Amino acid sequence: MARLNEEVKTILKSKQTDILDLWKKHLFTKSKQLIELIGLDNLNQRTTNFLTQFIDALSIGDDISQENYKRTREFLSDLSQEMTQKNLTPSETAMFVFSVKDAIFPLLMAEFDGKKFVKSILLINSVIDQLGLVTIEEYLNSREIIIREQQNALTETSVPVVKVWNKIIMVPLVGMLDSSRTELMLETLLESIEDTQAKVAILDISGIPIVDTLVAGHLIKTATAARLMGTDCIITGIGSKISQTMVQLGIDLSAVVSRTTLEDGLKLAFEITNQKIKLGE
Amino acid sequence: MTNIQRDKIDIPVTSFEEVILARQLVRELMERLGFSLLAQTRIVTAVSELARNMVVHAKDGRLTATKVTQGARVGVNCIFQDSGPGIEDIDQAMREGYSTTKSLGLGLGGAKKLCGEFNITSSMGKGTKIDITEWVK
Amino acid sequence: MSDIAIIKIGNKIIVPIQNELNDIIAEKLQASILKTIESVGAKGLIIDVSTLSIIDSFMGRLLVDTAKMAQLMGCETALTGMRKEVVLTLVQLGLIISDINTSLNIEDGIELLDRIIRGRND
Repeated sequence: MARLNEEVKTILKSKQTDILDLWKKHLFTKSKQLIELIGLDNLNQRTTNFLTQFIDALSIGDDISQENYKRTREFLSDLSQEMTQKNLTPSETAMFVFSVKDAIFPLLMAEFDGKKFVKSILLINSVIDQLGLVTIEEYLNSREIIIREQQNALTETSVPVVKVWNKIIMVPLVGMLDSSRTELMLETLLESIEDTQAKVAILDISGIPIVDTLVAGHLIKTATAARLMGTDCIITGIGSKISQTMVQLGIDLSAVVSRTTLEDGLKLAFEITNQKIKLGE
Repeated sequence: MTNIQRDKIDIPVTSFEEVILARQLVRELMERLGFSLLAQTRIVTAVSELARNMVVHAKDGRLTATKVTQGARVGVNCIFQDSGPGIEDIDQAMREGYSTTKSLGLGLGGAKKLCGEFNITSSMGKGTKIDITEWVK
Repeated sequence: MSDIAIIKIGNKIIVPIQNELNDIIAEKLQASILKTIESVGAKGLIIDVSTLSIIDSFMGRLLVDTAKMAQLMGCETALTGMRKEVVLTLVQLGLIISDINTSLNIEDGIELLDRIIRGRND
């Protein structure tokens, strides 16, 4: 596509202060929240910087992937990231760029007969549209990062492994045990087995509301994995309801040792590890 | 023939020594790309299965492993290509317990379970191409 | 061939696998383990895999087979020190190595084999 007409470029440069003023005026009416978030001092500096970079880059044409636009793109990415973190909507951030049109076009129109610079206006229009998309894309990227961080924070806290005694660890399971949580639980469990060299791992399932075929499968998988490391698994917290459903569903847990109470599970764990505690002395 | 760069590996896999080399090189590449130890172990195990398949069934297997990107995501792509006899029935070959050689019969199907993305194309008498990709999480 | 040591301690032999083995060397190792069991009359075999960074289906099969072969010769096997990444990969692979004794480390493995051998009363 055509480069920017030299004459237009000269005008844009000489009128930069007017454009800046008009642009800010539009921002004040359309994007109050954005201005609040940026702050007034910061706004002057940023709009000036942006406009200078933008007008410079315009002269090479409308391919914003070019090196000349690099600073402009980076500026907008940073701005968008910042605004996303501050919970501004993506359309308001995009309006920062789009409102440049409202400042440039009236000035150009006033300066010339409107038809003379149609090509240049189209070019500027196309560049601004593309730059608007840059802010939206960055918004999506930032959101994705935020969501991933939150997800990690959530899952990391959901599987505690407790060292109960020498060579004995316990995992209290609470809530639904789906595939992704099982995977996480397995990883955490095996890691603490490696760290503590625990010979027995107690999985307490009192906090799991429903044990269906799927959950039972996850438990067996966990026990098998622990066994491969050299650690025995004891499942505790299997009450009358759960044992009834399991048998009715035809779930075979015979490969895994289980007990009703945590107390019994612990007793068994002490037996397996050849340990005794004396009480009341 | 052997070409090893920072983000690209291109090596022949025609002997069991080269299977070991393929494992080491893919692991080093994944380590550089920031994969977790678990992801490295999973993919290197798959690489071991697929590389061995080429040694056993074909004479001119090659492995190319490269860094790939998609937006902000970084990943590794491995292509196993040979012009061996090809696989007659891919579905059957992928099935658990199916094996023409001495192993646990988990080779092809097992490798698939270990990889994020797994594609296989094969034609009789012309060879087999397996393409796997895993992304850094 | 391989420089893997086969160490005899009392009635047991210990094989610490130190490096990545290719298929051919792994099969040779299996043969020499079995020969050693035969010549020293070992009652227990410990294969320590703590330095193995992967166990694929070939290696998995070889380990299980070795344990079965040893058992036919009256020798119990314990696999020790399997890494957590390896275990997770095996589980995902659907490769369930059952019917083989496992221990966290060589020390626990020796203890376990002693208990099993004592239990056999021979």
